[in-house]
Amino acid sequence: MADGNAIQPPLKAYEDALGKGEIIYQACGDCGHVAFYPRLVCPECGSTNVEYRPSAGKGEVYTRTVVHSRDRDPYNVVLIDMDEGFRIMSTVEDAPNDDVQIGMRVELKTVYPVEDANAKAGRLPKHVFKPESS
Amino acid sequence: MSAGLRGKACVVAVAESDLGEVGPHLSAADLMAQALDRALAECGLTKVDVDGLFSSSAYYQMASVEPAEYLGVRPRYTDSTTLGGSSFVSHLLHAAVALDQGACDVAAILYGSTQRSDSGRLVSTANWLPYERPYEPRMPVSMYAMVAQRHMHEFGTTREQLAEVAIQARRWAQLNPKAFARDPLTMEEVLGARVISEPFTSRDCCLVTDGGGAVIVTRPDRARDLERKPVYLLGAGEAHWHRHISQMPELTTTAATESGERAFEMAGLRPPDIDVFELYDAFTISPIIFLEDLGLCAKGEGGPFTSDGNIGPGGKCPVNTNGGGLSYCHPGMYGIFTIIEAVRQVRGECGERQVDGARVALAHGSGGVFSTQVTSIFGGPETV
Repeated sequence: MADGNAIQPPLKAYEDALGKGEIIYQACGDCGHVAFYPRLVCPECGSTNVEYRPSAGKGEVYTRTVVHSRDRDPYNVVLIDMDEGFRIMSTVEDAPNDDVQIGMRVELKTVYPVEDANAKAGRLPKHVFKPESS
Repeated sequence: MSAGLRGKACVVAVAESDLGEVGPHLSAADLMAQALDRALAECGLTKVDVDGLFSSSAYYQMASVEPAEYLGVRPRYTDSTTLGGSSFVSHLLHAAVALDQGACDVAAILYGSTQRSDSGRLVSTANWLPYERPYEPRMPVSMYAMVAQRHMHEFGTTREQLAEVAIQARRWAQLNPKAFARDPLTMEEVLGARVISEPFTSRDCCLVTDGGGAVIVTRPDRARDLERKPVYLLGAGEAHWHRHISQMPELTTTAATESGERAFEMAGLRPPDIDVFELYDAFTISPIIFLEDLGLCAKGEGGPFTSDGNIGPGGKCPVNTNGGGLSYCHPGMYGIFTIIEAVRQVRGECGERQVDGARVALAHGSGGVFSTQVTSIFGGPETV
């Protein structure tokens, strides 16, 4: 969006990146502040000189919960502090819920496309993580 | 705003509607009408005197307009500020500003909800963040659960300390005839209840009830002619830093640090000066964090503080003397009830649950997912 002509709609940029198996985050070209979710302005300094960068997809579980529901097996929901300095909500697969604890290293496993996503959850693409392979 | 509004507004009446489960045919507006009628009767004003109207609602998009039409009130100052459960404490601050400026003379803050009679369905206008929704956290309990989990990790807060908050709330509720849940509650029951979102069981979560409330606020000159001893607003402050949980800077510190500081500054008081605390307890982690953020104990010490007998009946730091959202009532949003109980404690009319010699009370509202924080401090005429 630095050219000032066609702005890149932030949610569309995020979804397009997910479609390619990537999570993007925002970096400010003026103050360097890193943010997620993508926006048209930097939430730190207000600059519109922001760019969206692909993440390497690795991070650490910042907090977690396991939702117990009557209609499905318990599932975990986590906030992950990504190595680039932003935080996202996701879920960790390929590990028992009890093993998904704060401090666990995780990496992006895959992205489920919209058509696979639970309709109740808003029909949005969904990234999922797995324990980091050493 | 600083000290300028100290003592410039006073609460002259508070009332609840019928609470608990009112049945299938009453509306949220019906409950607001009932609460306002009772509040007006308490102070001797009539609805014709009300020229400022404040409300927030999950039922009515134009929150202050809907009850105004129903009641036949034509306000010259109207405010539908929606901050979630803290809205009504915010309305109090906004009403104090409006009264001080002469924009209205008698402000009514109203709330009503029939959440329980609507089958417990959380009537909510909450907007989902597309970056959170696909993961299906249960809104809002999972967000508070993630805060509790982080607090346990950073500070060693225990599962039992969380449970203690629910147990002490129940002890207070047993002293409040209007409380919804008054059976004794044990540690075993809290820990053994159905898990909702780890680490919370159903007993860590607020009630789902019906209920409404009304608070009438005016200037001291007007209050002098009325029937009840006025309770003065000594300080108030509001703050918010985030809307969605993934955007909260650090999950163990809320904007109550700022709202509290602003309220204390205006009041010219410090945390130890407060005799009784009404802290929005949607979940057991909430009072623990608010006691820290409001300066009653150091960050991280909220768990031990609440389980050392401080917050229950007879404790040195009485919290949620009506039984709180956990045991008294929680009709979707609870904020107005923190004000109602704080005012009654300062008036000294709380019967068995009255805190002896309560001169100054604090009511704290929280909305969203620890998102919006509003603190208010009340005192009797001798404190102004």
